[in-house]
Amino acid sequence: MRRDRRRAEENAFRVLMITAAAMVAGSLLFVFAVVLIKGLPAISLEMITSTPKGGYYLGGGGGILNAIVGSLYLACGATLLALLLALPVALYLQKDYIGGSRLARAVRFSLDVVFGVPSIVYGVFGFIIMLYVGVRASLLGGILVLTLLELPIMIRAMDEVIRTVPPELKAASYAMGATRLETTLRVVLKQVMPGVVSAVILAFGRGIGDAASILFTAGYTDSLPKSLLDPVASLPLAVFFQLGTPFPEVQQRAYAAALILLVLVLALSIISRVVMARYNRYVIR
Amino acid sequence: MRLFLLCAVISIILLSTLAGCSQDKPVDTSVRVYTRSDACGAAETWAKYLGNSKQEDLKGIAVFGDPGLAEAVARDRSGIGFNNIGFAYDVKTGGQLAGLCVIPIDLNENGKIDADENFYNNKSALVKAIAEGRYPSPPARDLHLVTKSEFKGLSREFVRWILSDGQKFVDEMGYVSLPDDKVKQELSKLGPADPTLKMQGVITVSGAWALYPMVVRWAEEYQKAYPGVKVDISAGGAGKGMVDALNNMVDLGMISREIYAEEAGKGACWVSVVKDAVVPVTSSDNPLLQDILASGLTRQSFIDIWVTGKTSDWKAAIQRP
Amino acid sequence: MIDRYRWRGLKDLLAGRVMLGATIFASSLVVFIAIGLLIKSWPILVLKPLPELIFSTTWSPMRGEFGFWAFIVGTFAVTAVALVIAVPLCILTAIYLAEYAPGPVRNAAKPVIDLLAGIPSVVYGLCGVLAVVPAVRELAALFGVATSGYTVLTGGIVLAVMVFPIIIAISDEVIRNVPNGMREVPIALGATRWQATKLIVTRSALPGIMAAIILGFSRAFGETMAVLMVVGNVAMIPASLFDPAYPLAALIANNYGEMMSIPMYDSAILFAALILLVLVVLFNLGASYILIKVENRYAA
Repeated sequence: MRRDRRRAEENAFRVLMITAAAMVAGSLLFVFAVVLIKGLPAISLEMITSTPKGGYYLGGGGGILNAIVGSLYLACGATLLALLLALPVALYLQKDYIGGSRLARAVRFSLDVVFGVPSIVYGVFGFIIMLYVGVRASLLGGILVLTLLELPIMIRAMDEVIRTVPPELKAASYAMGATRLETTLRVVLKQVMPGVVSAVILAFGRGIGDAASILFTAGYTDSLPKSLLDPVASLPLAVFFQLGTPFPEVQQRAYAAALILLVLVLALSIISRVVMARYNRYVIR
Repeated sequence: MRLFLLCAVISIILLSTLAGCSQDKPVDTSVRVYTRSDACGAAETWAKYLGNSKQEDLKGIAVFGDPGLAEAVARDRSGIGFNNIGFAYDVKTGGQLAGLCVIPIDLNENGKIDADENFYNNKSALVKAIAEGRYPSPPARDLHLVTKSEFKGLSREFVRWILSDGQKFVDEMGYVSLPDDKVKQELSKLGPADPTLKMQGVITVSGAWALYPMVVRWAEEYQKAYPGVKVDISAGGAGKGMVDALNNMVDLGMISREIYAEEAGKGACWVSVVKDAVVPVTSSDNPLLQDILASGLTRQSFIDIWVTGKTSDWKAAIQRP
Repeated sequence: MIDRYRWRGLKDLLAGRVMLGATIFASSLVVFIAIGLLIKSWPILVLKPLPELIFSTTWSPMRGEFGFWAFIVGTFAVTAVALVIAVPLCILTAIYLAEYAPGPVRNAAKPVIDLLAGIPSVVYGLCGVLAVVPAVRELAALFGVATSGYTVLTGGIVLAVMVFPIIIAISDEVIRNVPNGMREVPIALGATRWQATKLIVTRSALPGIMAAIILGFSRAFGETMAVLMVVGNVAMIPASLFDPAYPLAALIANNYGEMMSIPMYDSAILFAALILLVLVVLFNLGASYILIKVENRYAA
């Protein structure tokens, strides 16, 4: 009797799980398919390798190399900066340092709140500060705002993974006379590397795909930025502008830009997972 | 296994009811009103036509962006909306965009569309009507370029070029040129050229979607004429253009509505560069399409649809009080 | 010369101080943002009484009427729908990925999920307009309701799809990181696979999963572009799933352009951002409380 009930429950949940996974996969694949189907026809080698020639946004020749390079500069710069800031914070939130204390709770709380701020508010704020300081929209402004945007998700995602490190692991390290820093760097970090990489990619995805924050702070230009103070094009804004024109071929190019964005994120994801596969052997389950 | 089969059977039943239900429905002639959600020149202009109202007085499902609104109306048989002419007509053929149908405005309010009120079939006819003043203004309107305090330097030369050589590209882009005397008037606002000015540098522009394609075209030609000059253009709406221009974040702002007193007070200085218009549209699947095209709608019926909400049925809209 | 032992200790101390600095910086961000928003919305706070601003449903900026209640309710409505859809689906999917999925499926799924976190919101919005709006229109017709398809339900569905990657990615990592011991012990005692999984999820992984859900909620509150393309943007209190609504984030994104042109509008828009911030704070407070209760009950 009992066994039948257990088995029925197991089967029921199996069905539910697979249905759920199928629905999630289905909806996400639909989005992916739309981008692919609408964007692929507009993709060409020229699009990826050249900057817009005259009238590109009206259907003329050229490509969006400016936006590709610009987005990479923006997102990589922001992700790097955010990583520099996020890793110390996420590690500090461990029990060894302040984990479990009121300060840790306050920090997590404040980060969750910051994560809920719409990106357009960051954009507006960034804009106001730039007005105050007297600089125009530029690569630097875009990087700073995107760093702010990526920081909460990176810290929280890393934090969740770091918290799963078994305390015995750390205890063993301390028992051998290691300091907190050494334990953190040599034991904990190796254990959570895959999770950290996951967090970085999640944040990178957020940063490279956001339009509202850089609409105000990064500007737009048809050329590649030569310095941090030059305005810079970006793929989300390229999508945004091209969708707003009345030309169907240009709207198709917007999908192509979105597709390129996806490919970039995919490439980064695969590369980092391949690199991290080497570190997987250090992870103790 | 049995559970799985049960789920499958239930979903099949559900899907067939869904398919079956959409067959027998009485013809619905109610009006579904659409407007723009983003603060934009098109909605302000249309609202101005409807009894000097403001965008916030237009009631209806608010959709983001001109293409979004066109799409929403095209897919809704009972929909009514408004678009910039650039988005209501096909760019290549000049005919009406597939799925949309421009609603003729019954200007003399005699209950039908006369021959001289019938210029909506293709863009060039409409553009001609706008230029000759047969299409009311509003909803036709001038588009402007704005700067802070005064036009100077490279951006001034760009504007000067727009008002002279640039005007020959207006027709091909589907906009309406300003009348010659207006162009002269705007040129005189610019002041004399500076002979020592080097044609090298960057001009930054941002603002209205309505002007974006035109300014991109102008920039393309200008950069051909003066290779040392670069023009960086971003869109984002007329409001953003105003904010950017007034704060010196960009050299020129593209504005698709009239300049408010508040903005002039903050130092806005502008010239009109081209003209376009907003047109009312409905879906080409509208059940009463032929009647609508034959009799058109008057300004009052538009007001009753968008502002007061008194008219909510197509039949009532056509048989005006 | 500092001997090796002391040097290690010094490094540890230094690192601790650096980390503390970073942490204080990160956690003071919220304070800076709150103060900034407060300063910018001060003009409207001074002009109008707070209850009127929050509870009035009249929104007519040209006439100086700023009532935010419809927007607040709209925000809640869309977010609630999104979470009712997303939470069960995501938890089930995460469990499936972490525990049951065969290797190749899992290895393919992870990059795909990360990928989808990188799609610009505009694209989600467009997919929503393409597929969800007509679907909701048909669905409403089944119930005999006439609607344009731009509704709370549509916004909720699009938002749910947008938070899928975050909740699943974090939940999956958390479940995977539960030590194998927790899996092996119940099975050794005779439990089924599912019972062992249930144990893991409701004990070890629950705090992490709840954190993932909270993050998903926060993302839902702050998402602007995709939602405003499908939700109808009508400033009214939605009476049913098939009514349009107007979330606060959409209000900000639609009207940022008018900030300089209508008096008080910039304060009003940034006040909307402030309300949103307060809502997120309140929500996180509630969620933290629940989380603490959960952690205490199932001390990991």
